[in-house]
Parts: sequence; structure tokens; C-alpha cells
Amino acid sequence: MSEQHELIRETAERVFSDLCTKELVDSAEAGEWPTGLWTTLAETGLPLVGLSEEYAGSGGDTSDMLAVLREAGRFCVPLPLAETYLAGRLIEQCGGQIPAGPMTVATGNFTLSGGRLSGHAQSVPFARDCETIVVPVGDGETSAIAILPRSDAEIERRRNLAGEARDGIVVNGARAPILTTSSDPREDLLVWGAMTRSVMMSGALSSVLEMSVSYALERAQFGRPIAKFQAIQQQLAVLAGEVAASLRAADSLLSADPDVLDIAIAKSRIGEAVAPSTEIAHQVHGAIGYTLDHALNLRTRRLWCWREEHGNEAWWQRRLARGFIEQGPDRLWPGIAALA
Amino acid sequence: MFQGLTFEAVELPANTRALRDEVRAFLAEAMDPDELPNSDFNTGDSLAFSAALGGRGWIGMTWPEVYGGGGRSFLERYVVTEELLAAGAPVWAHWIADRQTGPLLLKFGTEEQCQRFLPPITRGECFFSIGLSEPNTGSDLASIRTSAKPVSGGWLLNGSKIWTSGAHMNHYVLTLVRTEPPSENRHAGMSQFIVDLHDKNVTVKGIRNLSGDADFNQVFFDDVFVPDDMVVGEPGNGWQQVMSELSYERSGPERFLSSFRVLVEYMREVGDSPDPGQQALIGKLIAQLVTLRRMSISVAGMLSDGKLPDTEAALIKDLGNTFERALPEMIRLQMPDGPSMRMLDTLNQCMLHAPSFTLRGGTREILRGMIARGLGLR
Repeated sequence: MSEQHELIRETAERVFSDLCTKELVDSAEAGEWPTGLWTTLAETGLPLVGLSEEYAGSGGDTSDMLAVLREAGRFCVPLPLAETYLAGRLIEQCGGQIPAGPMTVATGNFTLSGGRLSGHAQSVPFARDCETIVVPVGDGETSAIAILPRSDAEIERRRNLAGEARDGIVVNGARAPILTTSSDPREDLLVWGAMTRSVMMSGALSSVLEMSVSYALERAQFGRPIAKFQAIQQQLAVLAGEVAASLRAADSLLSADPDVLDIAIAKSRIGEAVAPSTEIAHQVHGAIGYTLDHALNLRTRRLWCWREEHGNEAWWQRRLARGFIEQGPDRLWPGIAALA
Repeated sequence: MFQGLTFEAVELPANTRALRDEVRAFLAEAMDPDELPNSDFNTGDSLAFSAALGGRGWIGMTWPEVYGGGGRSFLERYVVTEELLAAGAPVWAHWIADRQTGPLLLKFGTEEQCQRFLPPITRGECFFSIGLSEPNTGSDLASIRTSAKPVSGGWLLNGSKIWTSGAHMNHYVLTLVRTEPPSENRHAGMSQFIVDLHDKNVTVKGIRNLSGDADFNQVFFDDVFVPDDMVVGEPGNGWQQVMSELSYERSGPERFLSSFRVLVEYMREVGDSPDPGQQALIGKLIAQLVTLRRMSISVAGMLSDGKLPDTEAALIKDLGNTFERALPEMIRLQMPDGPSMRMLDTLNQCMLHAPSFTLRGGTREILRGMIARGLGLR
């Protein structure tokens, strides 16, 4: 990893560990936008890392942004960082200038008629808090994105089970700027979205492991830390295996501009790690980890949401399998060995 | 983060590409098309195949050329190994000698031992077994009782080893022996002997496993004379020798490929029109397999850099064994109607061997204990 990459990661880690406290995440869940955290991040340029300066991004490459998002996952950052990046990347791909401020993306049923956008979408992350909503539109022949100002959308406030804003939006004939592209923005959003959730989950999982190990070393029962009991040790070893596999799968996305196969592998493998990992973490923590006051649930509830977003494990597994099935059984091994 | 949980991306060097193609071409010729391939390293043996492999220079690949080795890198060996396993080649005869005995002799053995044993191993003509477990010693290896007393010119060996795979067909067993009585330091006073399995005072008794195969054995030593030159390295150094090779033994592709051929046959079975559940299962297994392989190659990279990634190796074995045991269980529940005999034979053979996956080379529980130590829990 380059020096710049490590510097960006460290900056993100420092800002998040200083500012993204349990209280801040709780107040965000209660509906308060974390102005201070966003402003600090915007000053460092972190929200637009990985996007070209030519289009008003902060520069750096995809892996730099993924390192920021992994840290965001570790600290449960209650901001549309992934979405701002995704929106920016779609705009960049179309050759547009990236606006300032938090952005989000929406996939749903939208039509474009006479330059006017209509339609609706569900589960739009942080729609209420964003100034810009990027909407992939296309009629099969032309592909485009609409740069929709939030003020032109009707917002229905909803939350996912982690308490993150996932709003419904309705748009009726909004005159939004349209940028065309030769790519398929719906597909791009799905693939890149899965990439962001994969690294975010890997960050949250590593944090879950750290918390569980610390707790087992602190908590004493029967006169000794519960970490000394084999039953606990064996559970935590399994958790460590799931986390190690997740980190390795996510690393494949950070090492270069990732292939869609690597993204499918990561989303599948990391998503699969969520159930056993969160189960063990909660079991080790006992009743205290089940309380709202304990920070464990900030991670575990997010993990339960993120594994579903941008295609869950089964969806990506079917997609991953497709190419291998076409190639047939005797090309399975060569196909696997070709994935360095 | 914790030590032992980082598996950095390691890319296989460019020169492994041509090597991989060579191995594939060799396998296309050397494998018997009538034989059902089995990717469990422990399941197929063929003297002719081992000799042919030796002839290609693919046994003892990383050893110095002066002993008949190939002088090649650890990652090159990795590529050959994974190709052999994925194809289901019969590698068992030379497996232990290649993976374990050779490296151990190179590290601890005398010059004379290296000259004597390594060249025939590389030719695929000399095979070894491992003599660690005993009837009352499994995971707690330091509790062995097989012992030797010094006599003129060597040692007199008495005791018994069990679960000694391949002892009925191999030439030697590398045997961990107590050469001093147990003391406060449980790990002191042990030595490793090279014992000739054809010695008249050695008795090999086959034990059938639940698949009906008699691959493992109990080996009895009754006043077996072991000359001094068959003691590996220094007497008393046995424990350290045994422990030093665990990362190699535990992190290789044989720890997650044992049931791979079941997946290959399953894909043949469902053809190009699997239902969504079957398709997802195939993708799920591929995603797990690719991730395990990448972790394993990462450890191979650490090993070739001279590191000793014990926790990482334990993690791979635990995750890999869990994968290879779960694979047939998941596949049987997503089987198309009326599976072929080939599919069923492959699946059934795997089922019958699967219990051994999480036992051999360190039980799951021992491995998890090692991982827990890496996490700082013990």
C-alpha cells in the first residue's frame, strides 16, 4: 500500500475515533444530522476521495475510498459516505461535475419523459439529509443518470433495522439535469454498491471481534476472566476465522480496481460471516451486549442491514455461479486458479 | 488488530503459469480415465504415478539440487500441489515424504541422512510414515510413552504408535520417542528416529476405518535396534522438530480441497440449467473456496519469506476443514432427481472420509485453542 493510501486511512480512523462516539451514533439514530462530523470530513476532503479532481473530486483511487469506508464500518459512521461516493462516481463516469455536500443514490421505478423525471424508490439511504439524489434512468436504449435536487422529491421517512435513514422518495415530473453514459448505471450502482457494503461489513466485523475479545478478557465469572474458559475460547476462534476470511475477501477489493467476480466473492463470503459472527459476539457478551446502551448493537444491527443491501449473499452467489456454470465442470478449477 | 489475522494478498509469480500448464498436460496423460478422481490427498495411491511425478521433478521441488531436489520456490511447489489435488491425482504414496519428512531432514537431519534419503524420495521411490500418536496419546502429544534406551552404537526402541497412515506400504516411519524419562519440562527428552518398517522387530497391524479402507495402522516396536545414524539431529530435540513444521502441514491446499471433486461432479450433474437454489449453492462454495485459497497462498508467501505463521495456518486448517466437511452435506440436499452413479460414488466416498478431515493433522479443538492463543485469550 502506498504512503498516501495509509495516510488517508489514518486520517479517517483518527476523525472517526475522535468524533464518532456512541452518543453521536445514537443521536443520529434519533434523527439528528451529525453536522460537526460531516463538516470535519468535508474539510479533509474524505467524502470525495477516489473521485477525480477533474470532476471536483478529492483525487486518489478506489482503494483509498474503500479504506475510508472500512474505517467507517468499524466506527458505524452515521453518514452517507458510501452513497456520496457512489453518486459521485456515477456523475464522474458521465463526465459531470460533482456537487458539494452529501449525496445519495436511488434505484426504483423511474421514467424520463420530455426531460422530466417521475417515479418512486424505496430504501434510499439518508435521502432526507442529502442535497442531491442521483437516479439511474434508462429505457433500454439510452442510459443516463438524473441529478435530482432533494427539494424536488417527496420524502417518506423510514429507517432500517439499524436505525439508519432509508427513505422512500416520490418524484412527479421533476426537471432534473440528465447526464448520458455509454455504461449501464443501474448495473454499475449495484456492483459498486456491493463493493462498498463489503468493505464496510469487513470493518464492522473486525470491530465486533475486537470488542468480543476485550470483553472476554475483562468480564470475570467463577473467579476468572471468561476468556480462560475453553467454551469461550473456541467460540472466539470461530469468530476470528470468519473475520479473517472477511478481511481477506475485502482486501481483494482494496488491492486493485476490483473485478466484478471479486466483488461477488466478497459480498457473498462477508455476508455469510455475519450470522455466525454476530451470534457468537452476542453470546460472548451476554445480556449486556443485548442492551441498547452497549455499543455492540451498533455494529451487529448494521451488519444485518448491510448484508441485504445491493444484493444479498444468495443473489451474488447465483451471479458468481453463472459464468462457471457456462464454462462447465471441467473448467471449474482453471477458473478458480485464474483468480489470483 | 490482532496478530495472526492478516492475510496479505500474495500474487503467484509469473513463472508459475507455464509450470501450471505443464502439470495440467502431465495430468491429462498420467491420470487413469477409468478411475474416479479423489481430491482427498489421503485416498489415492499409485507407485507408478509417484514415480512418474518424481521423474518430472515434482517431488522435493524446493529442496537443493544436490539432494535431487528442484531448487524451486515454495510458491511453485504450491501450484503443483494444488493442481494435483484439484485433479484428484493419487498422491498419497509420496505425500508425507515430500511434504514433511524431506523438509524436516533438511532442517534437522545430518548430511549423511540427507544424502541417503532425499534422492530416492525425489524419485518417488522412498516413502515415509509419521509416528506421533500412540494408543494413549492423541492431541496431548507430550504424553508419549514409546521410549528408547541407549545401547552400544544406538538405541533399543520399545512401544507402539497408532493411526500410522501408510505404514503397511511405506519404507520408514519417522518416530517420536522418549529418550529420557519424563521431567518437569514435559517437552524435553524426546527424539525422532528413522525406523525401518521392514525391521523384523517391527510389526504393522492394519486398522480398518469406517470406509472399509485399511490405510492406518498400529505399529509395534519390540526391542528394535536403531543405530545412532538414524537419530534425526540431536537426541532430545524431538519436540522442537515436530512443532517446527506445523505451519507447512496446516496451511496447504490439502486442508480445503479434500471434497473438491464432489463439487465438480455436482456441476456436471446439474449441467447448464441448475435451479436457483443449486446455482446459489455453487456460487457460495466457489466464493468460500476462492477466499480460502487466497488465504492459503498468503501463508505460502509468508512461509517462503521465512516467517512462522502458526496462528494463520491454524485458521486456514480450521476454516478449510469446516468447508470440506460441509460441502458434501450441502450438496446432498440440493441434488437433482436421479443422480448418476458417478455422482453418488464421489459423494459417498467423500462422506465416508469426511470425519477424518477435522481430526488428522491436529483436531479442530486443538487448532481453535491455538487461534485463541493468537487472540491473547490464553
